[in-house]
Amino acid sequence: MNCAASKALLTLYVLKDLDASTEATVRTHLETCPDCRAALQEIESTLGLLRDALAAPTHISAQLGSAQRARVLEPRASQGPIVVSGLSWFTQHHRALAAAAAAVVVVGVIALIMPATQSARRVALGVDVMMEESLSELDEVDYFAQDKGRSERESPVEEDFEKLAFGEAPEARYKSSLAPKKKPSRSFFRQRSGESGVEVSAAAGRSVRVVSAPVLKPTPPPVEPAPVIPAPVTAPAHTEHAWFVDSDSPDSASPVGGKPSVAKPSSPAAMPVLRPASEVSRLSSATEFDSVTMTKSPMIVSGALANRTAGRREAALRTYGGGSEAAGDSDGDDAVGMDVYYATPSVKELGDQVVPILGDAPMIGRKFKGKDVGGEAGEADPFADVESIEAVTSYDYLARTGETIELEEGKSASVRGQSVVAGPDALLLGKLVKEEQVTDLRSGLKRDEKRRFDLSEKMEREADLGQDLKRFEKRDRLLEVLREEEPADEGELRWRFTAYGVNPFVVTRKEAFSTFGIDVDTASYTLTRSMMRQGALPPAEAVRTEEFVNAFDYDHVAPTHRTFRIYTELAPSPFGRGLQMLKIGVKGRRVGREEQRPAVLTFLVDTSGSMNAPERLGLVQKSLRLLVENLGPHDQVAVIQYDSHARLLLEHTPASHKDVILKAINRMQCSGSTNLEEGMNEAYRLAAEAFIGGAENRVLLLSDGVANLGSIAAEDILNKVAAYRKQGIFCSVFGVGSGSYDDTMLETLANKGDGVYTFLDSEEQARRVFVDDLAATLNTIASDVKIQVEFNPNIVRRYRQLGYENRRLKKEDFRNDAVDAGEVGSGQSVTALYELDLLPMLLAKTRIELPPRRLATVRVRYRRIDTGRVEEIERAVWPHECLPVFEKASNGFRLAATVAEFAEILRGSPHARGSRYKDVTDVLRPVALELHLDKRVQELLQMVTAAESTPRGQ
Amino acid sequence: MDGSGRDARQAAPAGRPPMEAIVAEYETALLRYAARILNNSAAAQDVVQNTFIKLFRSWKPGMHASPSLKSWLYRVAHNEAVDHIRRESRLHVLHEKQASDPAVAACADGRNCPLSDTEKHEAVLSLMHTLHPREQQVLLLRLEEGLSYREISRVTGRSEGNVGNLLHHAVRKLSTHLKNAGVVTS
Repeated sequence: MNCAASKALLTLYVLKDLDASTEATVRTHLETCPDCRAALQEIESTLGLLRDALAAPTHISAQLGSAQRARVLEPRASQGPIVVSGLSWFTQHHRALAAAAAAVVVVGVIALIMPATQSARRVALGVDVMMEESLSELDEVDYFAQDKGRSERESPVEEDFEKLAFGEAPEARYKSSLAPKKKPSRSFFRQRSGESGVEVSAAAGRSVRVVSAPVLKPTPPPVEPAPVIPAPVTAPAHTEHAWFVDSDSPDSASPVGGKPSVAKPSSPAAMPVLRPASEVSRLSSATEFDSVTMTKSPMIVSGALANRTAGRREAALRTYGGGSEAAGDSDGDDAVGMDVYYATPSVKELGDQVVPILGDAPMIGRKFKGKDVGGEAGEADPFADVESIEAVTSYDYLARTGETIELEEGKSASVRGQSVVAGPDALLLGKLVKEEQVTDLRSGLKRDEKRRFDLSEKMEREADLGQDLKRFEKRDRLLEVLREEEPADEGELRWRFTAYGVNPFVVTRKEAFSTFGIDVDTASYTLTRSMMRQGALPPAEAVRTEEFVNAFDYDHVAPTHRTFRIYTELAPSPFGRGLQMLKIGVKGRRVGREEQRPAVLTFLVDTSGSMNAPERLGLVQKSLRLLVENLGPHDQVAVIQYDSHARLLLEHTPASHKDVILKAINRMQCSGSTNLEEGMNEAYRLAAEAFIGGAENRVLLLSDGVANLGSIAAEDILNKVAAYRKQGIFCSVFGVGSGSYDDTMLETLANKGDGVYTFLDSEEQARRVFVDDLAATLNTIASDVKIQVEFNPNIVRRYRQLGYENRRLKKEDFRNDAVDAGEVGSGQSVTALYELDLLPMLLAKTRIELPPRRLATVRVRYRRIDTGRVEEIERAVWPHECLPVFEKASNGFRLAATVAEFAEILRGSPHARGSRYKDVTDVLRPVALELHLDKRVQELLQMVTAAESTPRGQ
Repeated sequence: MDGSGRDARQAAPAGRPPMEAIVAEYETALLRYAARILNNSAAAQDVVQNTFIKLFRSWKPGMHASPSLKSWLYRVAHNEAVDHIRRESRLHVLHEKQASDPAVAACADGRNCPLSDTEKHEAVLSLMHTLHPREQQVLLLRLEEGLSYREISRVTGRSEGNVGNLLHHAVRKLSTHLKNAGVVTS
């Protein structure tokens, strides 16, 4: 605790109003600080005097005078009538009018609120109902269907579900699979079809939810009927088919019916049935059912089948066809004849009920059971955001699935339960006939999807892996690296990087919060530049998108009074088709010269054999000279070198003695191995000795990252760095010398020490770091800076953060001030990018106009270095801020987008597949023209251009 | 108007505040507080009277049991007192009066002028009145009335942290004043 902070607490300390821990801190501080002790004495004496003065006898009367007392106790008598306000007078005298007015107001409010609550309830129901009641049971799904016209089925709902009777044979046949399952946990699906329409009903375990209603007449019947099942059986007048889908073995839909029969209500020719007419199902009570209208959509049908090849069409027709009139011909334009349903927007009939059409069991099983595993595969489900049945219109359906209909079809079968998007698959379920057909259809339909799906699964795996790495492997990896013996040949090329995966798209409805600690490092970009100069692209895992983005300046104006200012900009993404890009910039205050605290710097320079090269030690010496030239007279510098042992070259010396410091810097010599442990110990010991409260106490490690350490020692160092950070000694890390460079360890050290991690590849870069950005490097304004972005699920369907994979925090850690996060120096800015997938306007238009809603809220939380207080600021992003075209965006925005895309391509992000460097240069070129004075941008343009022809490094 | 008066009277017995008990409980503390702020005992009586009348008017059943009653009374008393000061434009006058206070001025230059305890106390109190009303408020509520920070924050509408800050600054200011006035020798 510094002086200023504890002085502010002294009065409370004297009054004993502080809590125990703060009081202890103040007490310990008082022992070390004579200045504060003097202030304490002064306050004590003042308070003593004041207390005495207040306690001294006064002439203040202890009681009200008799006149006042009388007025208080009998106020009406003395004060006259108490005035009743205008409104209450009105209500008292015109009760009827007041009541009428109140009624009008209430009705108006209800009319305003109703739409919102209804949709909210629907969402809630959709999720809750499926989660609690059906989801767990979805792996045991029974489906039954039967044809209309069965006389004994005229009022099926009145019959008893308990009496469910299967035919003898099927029951025996499926005894084994049915036996272990409890009845209530079975779901129930029933379909009745006929000329007048189709009735679909389903029951999910105890809670029977879906129900039936008449539907539109099917669209034109197919030209010629075709048998579907190889061995058709003459059909009875009424047929029904029922089947059971076993969730344990995907793709196995076993028919329940005994012998398959073919039937068609109009012409009993060829229609697949699984069993002859028999009692299939009886539903327990009518009251348990609500109703929904299902209608057929020719649009869907044509859309759904537009892209099919003949083979697939045939397969599909075979499956779909039986439902209506007859199965279709393989090459006719018969698609329209199929029973394909989509949900009609019929709010009235739907009420608030959400109707789960139980999709195909394996898919659902995977989807739902796998929630914990891969819940974020946003790409997979085009209906991820569908709240309720009326949210999907046929137009919308096509818009959503349009071009990839054949890929998504299987998916929409799993429609996540909460919505009845009875796409082709609801029917698919209703008409599944034979196991091999299912398989057939699936493989046919999904061949293309499989590729895509594999990819998305791979991404998820990578992301999960990244999470794990973040938690565990980072340290383990570090330890492992450190545990290894240093290779005898120090010149051997050896790269140490850790891959953190790539952030996947996150469905906003599942997780609306994106939380991360800030990162102002730029090492990854500098390292890449350095490697490309040597003629190779960096390994994919060496590229961290956020460090690329943060390597550039986006012309944010620094706030003058507040610590931070948040900038946001929203425009279409130039690379993600149909996506928007949100750029969040957080700019820190620039510390004025008079505010700059003296710096107490302890340089720890690696002088092991591996450093013996002009671009390593030579560069380090040059950098240090540059820095010393630019320090103020009150700053102090100490230099320690370490190889096999640590050696003190210079104790803390005021920077005004430049000659002494420069001499010490020139004395450095390389030899021996790398004893980082001893070096760090020595550096921290020295830094602790020279510690000055309120100053910038910092250990600066300059190394090529090679170290031979035992695992225990490595952990010790990390713990020590973390412990000293809490006491106010920070650690910054400067990496040099590509080749044997250990990226992971250096980054971890800087993270632990709340410092910056920078890579020095040239004198120019050193000048940038130690001269241009000196204030930022030495004057931190805030620590533990965290950013949380909350997206509105009603506007943003899904989002993806570019980079910051290893900085992700848990949602609840945002307000947990004990959780460590990055720090920001004077005038530094942090930039984060998101790709957003917004809900189509089509949906927005169908809803009642509501007051504008936030698209997202950006919150920044940080601890100020000067006061030690934690502050939180926020900024809203409104939908109308979105620019119409990318070209209208500021050049900073366009630059950030290109930098991020470049990094994404370099690190082989699955989101950048298909993007080429040329796409980046096309966008970057106009920006570079506008910013022709910024050398970094010109340099970037050269890099991107050259990347095309540069081979990937090892 | 008659009608409204009658209605109010009809409503009164049901939720009638136990005024006598409340007055007995709080009058001393409120009078002391108001008198400190106003530096005027007679005006304090008026202020406290108005406070209680306001309480009677805005009485809601259950208020007596509520812990916020105390805070409410202090807040209203303070506002009344400040209003009173404003009404009489005394804020300005007060400051000038303090600056030219003979007791303080006499000892401002001579540090060997011994002050009796009573004089010292008077000087301290008069210096306290040169503080901003909100600083006086916090100082008095904490030191004399012994309210907790939570209660003070309810009275003043400031956060508890802010109250602590204000208190500290008030004490620092006061100690500077004391030094300048020569009441305390550094």
